[in-house]
Amino acid sequence: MKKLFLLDAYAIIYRAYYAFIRNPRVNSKGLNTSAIFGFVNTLEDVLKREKPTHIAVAFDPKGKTFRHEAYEHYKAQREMTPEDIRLAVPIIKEIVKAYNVPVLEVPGFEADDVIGTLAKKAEQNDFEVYMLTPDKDYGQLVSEHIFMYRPKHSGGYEVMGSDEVKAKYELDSHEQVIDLLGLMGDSSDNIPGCPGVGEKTAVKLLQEFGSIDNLLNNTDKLKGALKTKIEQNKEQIVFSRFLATIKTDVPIEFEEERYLTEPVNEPELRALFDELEFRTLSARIWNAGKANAEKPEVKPAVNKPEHGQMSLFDIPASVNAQETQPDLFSQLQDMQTVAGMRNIHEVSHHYVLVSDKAQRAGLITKLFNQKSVCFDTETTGIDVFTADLVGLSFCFTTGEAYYVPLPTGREECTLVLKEFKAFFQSEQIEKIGQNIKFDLLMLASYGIELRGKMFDTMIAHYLLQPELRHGMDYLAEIYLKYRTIHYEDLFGGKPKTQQNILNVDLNLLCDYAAEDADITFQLKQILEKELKHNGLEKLFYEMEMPLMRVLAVMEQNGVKIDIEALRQSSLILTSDMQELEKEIHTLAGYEFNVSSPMQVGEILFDRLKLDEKAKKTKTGQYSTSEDVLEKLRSKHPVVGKILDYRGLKKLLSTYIDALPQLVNPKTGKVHTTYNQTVAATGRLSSTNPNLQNIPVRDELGREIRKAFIPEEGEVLLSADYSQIELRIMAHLSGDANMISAFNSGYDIHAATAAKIYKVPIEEVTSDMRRKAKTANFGIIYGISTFGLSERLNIPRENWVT
Amino acid sequence: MGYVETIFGRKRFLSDINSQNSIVRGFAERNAVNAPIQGSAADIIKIAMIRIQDELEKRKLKSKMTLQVHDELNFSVPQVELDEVRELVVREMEQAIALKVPLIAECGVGANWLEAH
Repeated sequence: MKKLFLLDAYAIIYRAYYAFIRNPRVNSKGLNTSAIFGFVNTLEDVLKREKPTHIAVAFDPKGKTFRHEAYEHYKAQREMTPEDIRLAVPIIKEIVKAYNVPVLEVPGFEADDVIGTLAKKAEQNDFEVYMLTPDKDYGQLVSEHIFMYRPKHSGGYEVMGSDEVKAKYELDSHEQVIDLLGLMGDSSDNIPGCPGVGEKTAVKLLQEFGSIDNLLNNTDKLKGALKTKIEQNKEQIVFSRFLATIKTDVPIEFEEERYLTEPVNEPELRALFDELEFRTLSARIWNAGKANAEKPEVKPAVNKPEHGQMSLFDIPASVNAQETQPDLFSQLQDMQTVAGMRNIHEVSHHYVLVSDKAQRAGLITKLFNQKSVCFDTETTGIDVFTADLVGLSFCFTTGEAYYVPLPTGREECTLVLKEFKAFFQSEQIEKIGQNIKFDLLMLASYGIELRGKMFDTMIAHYLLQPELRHGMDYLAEIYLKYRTIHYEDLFGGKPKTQQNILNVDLNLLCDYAAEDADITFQLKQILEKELKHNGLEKLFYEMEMPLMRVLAVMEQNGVKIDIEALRQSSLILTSDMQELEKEIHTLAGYEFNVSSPMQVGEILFDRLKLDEKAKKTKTGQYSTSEDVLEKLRSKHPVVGKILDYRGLKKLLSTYIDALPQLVNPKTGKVHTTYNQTVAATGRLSSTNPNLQNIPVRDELGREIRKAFIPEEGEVLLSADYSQIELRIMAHLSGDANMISAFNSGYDIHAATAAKIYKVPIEEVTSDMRRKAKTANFGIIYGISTFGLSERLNIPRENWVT
Repeated sequence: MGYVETIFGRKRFLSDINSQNSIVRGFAERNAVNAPIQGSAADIIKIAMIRIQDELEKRKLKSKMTLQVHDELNFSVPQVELDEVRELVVREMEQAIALKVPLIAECGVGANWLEAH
């Protein structure tokens, strides 16, 4: 059987683009690749699953089509094509060509007309035709041998023939899809339809009258408002039907051999994917099979292509796509080699195991002859306050690196480290590393101070591309097209709990550690130039690098915690929770487990019926997320109590009960980790504990703050910038009013209110001031003018100054 | 590609600022206003932290910087050093950069973070 697949390019592209809109895929060059990635996945998917004998991709042409000529508002609803899509389309066409799949574009006709025409012609030539598109208007084209191949939200595809289309829209014939759209309209295509007629009414009308023609000839049988609507919009209905009708007589020939499925042009496709940084995809297409054949023990990526392919469409448009990305990248980790990427076996290198004192002395002499040395530490763990050093690696020439294993006993280890002490403390030699703060703290725990100029590749990349990832493995792929030995590779697939670096073969460990130093050294040479090129040197050398050392000092300092105070808070809060639980049971009139979202959902929606249209999650439970509950707060007093209960529970588990466990037994303090490369804004963040998330004002935040105490016999000094964001806003905007308010020490919100309401500052009421305050912070935190008007209940026009 | 920067030249790229799609563009527009403000606040406290730590070391003080949260710094300070450290911290914070408006740092002391804050 000859099997022809026809793809509606723009329909697939739009869908992919909006699926990732909240978290678009952006490559290191800043190109948004969501649409391209989604399109390629779909194409791959179809080729692999369906093995079509013939295939083609249809694009809408530039410029107007016959529908535009006939109707000036046609597709006016759809905003102009997003920039990212406009940029992506030529690349997608290149890719389709590299797949050796014909690109179809007929001036004056849309893709669906081209597909309609070809489908009908192919059918006559004994083809089975599948039209790949999510758009429902294609339903009119199906027949015994023509099917819609529709991506489903839940992943996968549904094949829709005449019966399926009829069942879906409750129609007698699939051709009625035209009449259906003519009546109900289609907002995405800006087909107006009949005002006031939705899908339900349209279906009912067609069940009764069969067609638009018959309906319009028999409007006397209608009653009331519907009759008026139909009669008044006769012309528009007929016209809408015209717009919804897909043409099947586009001037295009169906030459079978032109559409034959051919092997892809691999070199060209690889080059395109490389340029786009589609490493996982490349790996999946070309290496999965090979890796599988050569190394059966390695889990090949081909085991789970569904993640990449299906997840794109499991998520309805505008849903956060974050979950899908780690999956894609985790596939990469499973790979032994990655397409287009070199690895340790393909690059000449000289990695030396430095195993005795004489060799170490030789290395140290060499180190002292350098201006700049890259180094890295290997350790038994990632908590600097409990981990032990296992080895050191060094590199000062590309492709040449050294690994120094360290003895396991703490004392013996310290002795060997002493040999390197003068090097680490040398002010003259620049130290290069990836995440140096960690190495600095590790060395410090053995009494070695790290000094001299420093270059941290992770921080350099953070300044260059604040929104991207900064891990060394990733940077190596992007900048060096090199696939490093990953940490997991040292353990041959053993579960995390059994991964012990001390059991790793010394030669393998040497390769791994030396490679790290070598690659980081090479990255530095590139990033150094990039920093200069982008005017970021001052920020790097004078702010971020000195700050790195300050953060290390702060982490070492740690902070004392009043464990007894926390224990008391815990007792009080736990009994508060029990009280709340009782109140909740009384208010709800039922006893249930307040901690169970499922039971909360059942109580609120099945029993108390607070929202008839309550949404359910994928697993079939009611959603009881904070947003959902906040909206129901006013409907029943129990809702507020449930929110309070959850707040208490979270506080207990993330801070009150968790903080004592973070106390380091050696130092008796909590040593927060400061992250210098996480927030794209430039702000610092912290983990274990996350200080930024401690509630600022409320009662519960107070309980937590009470537990942070100074050293024995000292006091705690806290210094806070006052209104710094507003002051920066005044400075950056140069707004004379704000500047003079700050300079004369006025209350800034009152000053803003005076300006907005055009009253003297003395006459500003507290309500005016409150609104002005919201406006001031709204600007900082980026509320749109619309959001602001909504929040303040002030018409938008008042804000246009 | 378009970008915005902080007072100190920290960049934030805005790939969608010219997007024809108003929702996409809206995100970028809000970022265009927010990023320089947030980022400059980050720059300023970072400079203050570096200078404060430098001073503490130079003067061989026992006081320690222990926490940084948002626009706030916390220290554990021996009573005898309190006046000196308070003066030092406030000065370095307020003088981290000269803007067209004054920077003000408010200071509190206590037996725990709640009392001091």
